[in-house]
Amino acid sequence: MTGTVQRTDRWHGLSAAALLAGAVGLLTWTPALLPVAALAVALLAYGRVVAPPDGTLALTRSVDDPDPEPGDEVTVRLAVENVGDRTIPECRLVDGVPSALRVVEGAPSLGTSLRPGGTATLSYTVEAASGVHEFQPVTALLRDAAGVIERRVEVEADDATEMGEPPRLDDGQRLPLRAATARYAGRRTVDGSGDGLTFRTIREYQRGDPLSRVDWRRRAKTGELATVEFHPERSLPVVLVIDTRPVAAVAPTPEAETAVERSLSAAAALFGGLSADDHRVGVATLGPERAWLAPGRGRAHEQRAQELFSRPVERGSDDESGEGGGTAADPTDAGRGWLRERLPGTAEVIVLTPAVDDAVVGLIEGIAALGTPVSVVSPDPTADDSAGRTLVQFERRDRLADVRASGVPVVDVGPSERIDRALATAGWSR
Amino acid sequence: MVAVRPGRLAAGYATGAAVVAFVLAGVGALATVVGALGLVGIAVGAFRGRATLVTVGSLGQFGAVVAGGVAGAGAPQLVGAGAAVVVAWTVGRTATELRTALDEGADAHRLEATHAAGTTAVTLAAAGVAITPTVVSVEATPVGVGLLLVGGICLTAALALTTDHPT
Repeated sequence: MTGTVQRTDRWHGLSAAALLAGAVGLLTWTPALLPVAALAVALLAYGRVVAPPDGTLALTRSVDDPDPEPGDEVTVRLAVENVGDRTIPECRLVDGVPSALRVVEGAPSLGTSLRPGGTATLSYTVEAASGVHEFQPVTALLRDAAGVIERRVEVEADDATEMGEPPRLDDGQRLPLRAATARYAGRRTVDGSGDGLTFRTIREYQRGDPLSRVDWRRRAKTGELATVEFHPERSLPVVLVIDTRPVAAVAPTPEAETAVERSLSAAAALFGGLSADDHRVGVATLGPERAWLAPGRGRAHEQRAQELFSRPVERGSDDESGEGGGTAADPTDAGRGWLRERLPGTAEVIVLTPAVDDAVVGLIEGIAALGTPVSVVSPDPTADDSAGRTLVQFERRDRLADVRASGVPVVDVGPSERIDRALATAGWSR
Repeated sequence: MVAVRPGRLAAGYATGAAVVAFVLAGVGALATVVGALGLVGIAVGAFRGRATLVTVGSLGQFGAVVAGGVAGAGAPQLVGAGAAVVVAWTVGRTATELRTALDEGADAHRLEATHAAGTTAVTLAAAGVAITPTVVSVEATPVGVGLLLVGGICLTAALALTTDHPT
């Protein structure tokens, strides 16, 4: 655990002070100033010979609830021990709190000094978020007594390196689907006639109709043969396309959940609801590491979907005009072709995106242009507490208006609105 | 335990050291005025988290030490004042750093106490080294003094200019 060592330049300018004091002492015939110059020289010499403390730290992290419900407050304790045989005069620690977790009490950092064998602890409380969140290594800055040389190390804690559990899929959210083009029987009533439970019409008997469909009461009353038709119930392949690009990882406040986290929660809920309705659900993520899970069913399929929904998400930059905005357009453009190659022809697509850039609108319109029924669930990550943010808010509304204008229904979920409630009451707004 | 914001303890200690430097160097009007301004700079900078203000204040106090020396202060007094300025500068800068490096509620009092004590010990040791030649009385020759000066300048330059290769 060597880390990186560097001088802090804490006493930058001391040599100039030494020379100045010596020069003034000589020019003004003031011998008393020469020891002042000597003091500075002695301190410079100390700065040259002092060695940085060794990175001999052992860390143990514990959380009082490793599998909390979203919104629960969880106390994290981090114990640090100096396992070396030299004192560490200055030790600054910052715990690697997952970016999705908000610290609600205490502080995840500590400044202390550690004798050999000495320990110190820090504790803080975080608000749990949905999904599994991995703690990053602890960053420690170790300095000598005067702070002129430092060693920076990153140390992994022994225990509790992650917290949370994958989102549950079984009590998911229903959402009206748009299409009825699937080939597999299910619970979704679609237009057309065939096998099912919902009555549609009675028509004249034709040869080959199954006997179970013959209206025997009518036959008994009138002597005519007639066949009862029902609405067929079919399962649809549905693909949840989640915008997990860094540009989408934005939130109205630093403490709030990012749009990507909200989209992932919504996707998990929709996955559960649609699976419960016997639809075959697939997942696609548009993040830097694109993931594709073809529509399917079964425990193994759900397991893979859970893994996708639990992937840690880094919080995006506040800088709208920065590098993130520039590079993010390309992945989505490329994602259109990537998605088109994979989408089954009969699939319905639900895109979950905060719609913070034009590229994703292009993607939605591109899918719709294929004739694929598309819907959009859009968690609103904007705020209106400054002129710039209000502008971003208007731009987003404009984009959603464009999407609606192209015939794609949108559920717009407000910044403080619970996404499950919004889905439960969703009437697609056009 | 009352929660103290990171850096407060160090800022208080730096201000105390600056007061010591002001008292020791405040010989003559110029030294007093410049020293007082430096003291205010260090105190405000350390408590408000402005590293530049701490450095400018320390520069002012160093100017006061030089002015005090020219005004006739003794060597032990000036070395003491110089050491106090270094402590105020170093610990004051640490106070400003801790404000930004650690969270507001973080516990840093042990680090601050150790740092203040460690910096004081290192600076006092250096002051001891610096003052020793004035205490030990030797028969100085002009050539000897000249060589000592050249050696001092060379050492200072070497320490300041050596390529940095930390291990």
